[in-house]
This record gives sequence, structure tokens and C-alpha cells, in this order.
Amino acid sequence: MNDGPTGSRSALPATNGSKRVKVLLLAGILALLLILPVFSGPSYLLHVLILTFIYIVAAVSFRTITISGQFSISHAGFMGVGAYASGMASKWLGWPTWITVPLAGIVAMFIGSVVAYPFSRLRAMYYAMGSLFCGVALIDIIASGRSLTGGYAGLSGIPPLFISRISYYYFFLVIGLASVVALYRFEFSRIGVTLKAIAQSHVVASSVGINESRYRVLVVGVGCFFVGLIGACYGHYNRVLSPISFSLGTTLWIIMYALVGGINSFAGPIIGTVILVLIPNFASQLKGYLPFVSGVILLIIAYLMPQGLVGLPQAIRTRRSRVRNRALSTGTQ
Amino acid sequence: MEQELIQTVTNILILAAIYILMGLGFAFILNLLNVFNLAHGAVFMTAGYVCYLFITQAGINHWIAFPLTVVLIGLLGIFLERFCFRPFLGDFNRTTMVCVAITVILSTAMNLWLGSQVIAIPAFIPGVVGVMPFATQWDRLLVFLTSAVILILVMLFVNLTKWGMQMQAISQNVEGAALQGIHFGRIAAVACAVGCALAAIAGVFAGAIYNLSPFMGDLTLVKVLILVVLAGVGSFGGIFIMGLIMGAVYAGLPMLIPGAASEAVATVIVITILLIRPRGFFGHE
Repeated sequence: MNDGPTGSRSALPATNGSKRVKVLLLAGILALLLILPVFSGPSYLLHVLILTFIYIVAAVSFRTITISGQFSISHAGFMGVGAYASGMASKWLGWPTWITVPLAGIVAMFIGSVVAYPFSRLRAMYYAMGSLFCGVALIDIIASGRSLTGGYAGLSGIPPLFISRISYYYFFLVIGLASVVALYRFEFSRIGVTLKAIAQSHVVASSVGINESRYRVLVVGVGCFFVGLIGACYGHYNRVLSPISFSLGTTLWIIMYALVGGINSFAGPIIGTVILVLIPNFASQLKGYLPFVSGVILLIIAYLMPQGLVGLPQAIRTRRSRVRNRALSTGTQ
Repeated sequence: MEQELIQTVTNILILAAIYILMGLGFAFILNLLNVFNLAHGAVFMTAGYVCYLFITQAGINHWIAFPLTVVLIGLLGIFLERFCFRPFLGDFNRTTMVCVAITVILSTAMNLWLGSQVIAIPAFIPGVVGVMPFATQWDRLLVFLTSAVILILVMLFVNLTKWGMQMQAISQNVEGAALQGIHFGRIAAVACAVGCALAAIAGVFAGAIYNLSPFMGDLTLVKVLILVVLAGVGSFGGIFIMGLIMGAVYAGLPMLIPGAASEAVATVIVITILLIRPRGFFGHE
């Protein structure tokens, strides 16, 4: 799906077949995820998978913002806004969770859009820095909420959505899948194409009548809605919230998930999250050494795979075809 | 009351000195290589720990350990430039990845090794200087004076020496500088070494005055980013003025507004300024 002009070059009969393979692979993974709890029971594995689903939505919605060409470094902040909005509404006001969770998404979307509006005149590095400070400010504001938000001590006693971990698992599977499909549809809709045009050249885009700032506010709103939604679900799953879990470090990790997978393709953040959340958690005997694993993965990807993991098959294919071409040319001579 | 005032003023000056040292180091790397060195906080933290280890574990004298740390971290800067920044010049994403990886690896290593203890670099000169209402610790005075001297030296280096002027040329126009026969790689290495050495000085000071923690770099990094962006990319002079203002804001505001709220207020002020003047106060295109 990320095949650029160079990707479609391999016009071998493989293209049709590889699409079918992709669909089959996706269906297989999905079926596996659906029947997994039957075998595993409410184990640690399910917890890790739930976390993976949460961060997949966060990373994919982060990437959705980046298709407008701007690098937003405040994503975990909006996740926190969603989580706290839903947690506080259900805890202090006693609202039912099936209202507060979508509401949290809308609150995050609203705050995101309100902040994005003045920010839409900043570009590139200045936008990145502005959004970074914005994420820091959101967390500072949450932390200064004293008894309302619990401050740095955290907000505890958030009502749960379900009793069993298996129900949570299916809930997150459905929410995650729905969000990812929605974001996929968004990216390949007319709006997504417009955003890509803005990313390529905001001058040209404006000259053909695209309202740059409106689209940029829109995409930030969409990204924040999904991350706020998943943040709210996370809050009801974890039942304790701390501002520190939404700090700059988390934002950077969400960005790392997207970069490791490959930020230029839709599948990138999903693959990156699976690699960086799922795999280190299985090496649980490493305990404190876990961050080393993530760090080394980052270094390997940065040095060896410029396009992220998604670019790996492409790189291998190019190299192989180059070798084959060389063999062919020497063979004919 | 007087005591409190003196305390606040020294706190402001010390914080400003640490921010300015860090910010200058960051700006060196940013201006020369166009790299947002997110590992700067980790370098700062590592320097504090290295100095601590030299003094307590290796038993080296304070006055030797400090310059030794600075030189070592400067060498680390050359290493970073050669192996972490130069391969990815102009590639924001991969530079960010490498910087985050370095930060993670360094802070995890320090956390596993020494993270559980509350430690600080032992005082360079123990005791208090001055008569009681106007008294402060020797170390604070020392930090202030040393930073002042170092900052003057750095300014002289940038404005008067050959390397410093070549640096300015490169930050103004890379191609033009190269056409005049300036060796980009060498100057970039010098800038990274100086930048990291400045962060190391700040790290040792922070370790001597506050406590060491494996995550102290992360918080300082955010402040340094704020400082550099507010001062305006490409401006050295702005960093001095903004550093003083930021020191005043972050050390002074907690006196007026209690607790976490002061951080929130300070950051909101920063965002407002950034929106009004997107290029910072002293920056240019």
C-alpha cells in the first residue's frame, strides 16, 4: 500500500498474488487474535496485547497528523486529556462510562483543535517545538489540578468498564480495529489526499484554493479524537492515572513506534508498535534491562533501515533484482 | 525576609547559569549541524554521574575530576558527531531515533547502576561564605563565578578565534563557507565537542548543587528546548538574556504560585510568546 513509483516497478505476476497474500495474512492474524483468549485465559499475554492495541491506535493517529507534513510532539498529552476527561467525569460526576468515553474523545478533539488553530501558522521545526511545549503544558495543567485530578499522586478509583480481562481484550480489539480502519479510510479519502498535497507544498496547495490552516486544524482534531478515545479506554482499564505516564517520554515513544515501523506507510506504526511493545515484554526475565532492547532496536532501525521496517522487503527486493540484473547482463554477454 | 530574597536571587542565578550553559551547547550543535540534539539531556546527566564516580569511586581530587569529566564528555561529543549525527544529516526522523536511543541507553545504564541511591557530587568547598543575612554556600558562589568565566571564554572563542569564526560562517551559509575552504566536518566536530563539554559543565554543577538522578536530563532538556526556541535559532546573544529570564521564571514563580501550577503557568507563557513571535525574540530566518 506504500508502493511509490519505484514499488510498482516489479510488474511481475506477484503483485496480484502479494495483495492476496496480504489479505490472507491479515485475516489470519485477526482470526488468531479472536480465538487467542480461549487458549491463553486471562493471562499476562492479554495484558500485553491490550497495551499493544492502545499504542497502535496512538501511533497510527500520530501518523495521521504527520501526513499534513507537520511533526506534532504532543500526542501523549492529548491521550492524557482523554483519559483524565473520562476518568474525572465518571468518577466525580458519576456519568455512565459509555457516555464519558466518546465524550473524552470529543474533549480531546476540541482542545486539540483549539490549540491547533493558532499553531497552524507555525511550520516545521517551530510547529514541532510549539506542540512539544503544548504537550508539556497539558501535563503541567493536569498535574496542578490538586484534588480534582490528584496532582502528581494520580487519579485513582476510576470505575471499570468490565470485570474480566477477556472482555477488556475484546473491547480493545474492537475499538482498536475500528479506529485503525477509520483512520485508514480517512487517510485515503479526499481529505487525506488534500493533506498530502499540503505536505508536499503548502504554497502550491494554497494557490489551488486549499485552505491550509483549516485542513491542518481538521487533521489535528481527528488525530486527537482517536488518541483521546483510546486514552479514555486506557484510563478505565488501568483505573489509576498519573500525569507522568503521559509525559514527553511517552510522546517520544509513540513517535518511535511510528518511526521504527516506517512513517511513510500506513502499516508502519502498527508494525513498529508490535515490535517495540510486544517483543520486549516477552523478554520479561530481562526486567530492568528492557529499555536496552528498545534502544538497540532503535539503533538498528536507524542505521540499517532508513524507511523503517516496512521498507525492509522493498530494500531486499531492490537488492535482489539488482543482483539478478547483474547476473543477467553478464549472462547475455 | 532578606535571607529568603538572597536565596531566591542565588537560585535564579544558578538556574540561569545551568540553562545558559546547556542552551549554548545545544545551540552550537543546532546552528552547525541543524540537529535537534535530544540526547543533550542524557549527556548532561552522564557528566554529573561521571564526575561523581571519579570523585567517590576513583578517589580523584575534585579539581582534577571536573576538567577530566568535561574533556571526556567533549570526546563523547566528537564520537556523537561522527557516528550519530553525520550519517543522518538533514534527516530529522533518524536523528531523533538515534538521540532517543542514546538517551534511553544512558539513562537506563545509570538507573540500573546507581539509580536507587540519592546521591550528589560532594561539595567542592564545604561551608558558607558571607555574613549571615547575606550568606550563601561556597559552592553556589563557585558555580556562579565559574559559569561566568566559562561563558566569557566561550564568547571569546566564538568571536575571536579562527574556529569560532569558521563556525559562524557555517551557521550562516554552509555552501558559502565550504567554498571559502572551511572544513565542515572538522568544525562540526569541534562544535559538538564544545557543545557537549558545556553540557558536561552544567551537569557537574547541577550534580553538585542539586541531587543526581538518571532522569534529571529529561526535565532540563525541555527547559533547554524552550530556551533555545525562545531565544531564536541562530542567536547566541539571545540565549544569555532568555536564560536569565527563564531562570527568573522557573526559580522565581514557585515563590508566588505554589507547586505544580507554577510550571503550568510558565509553560503557557512560553507557548503564548512562541505564538506571538514564532522565530523567537532574537532569531532570524
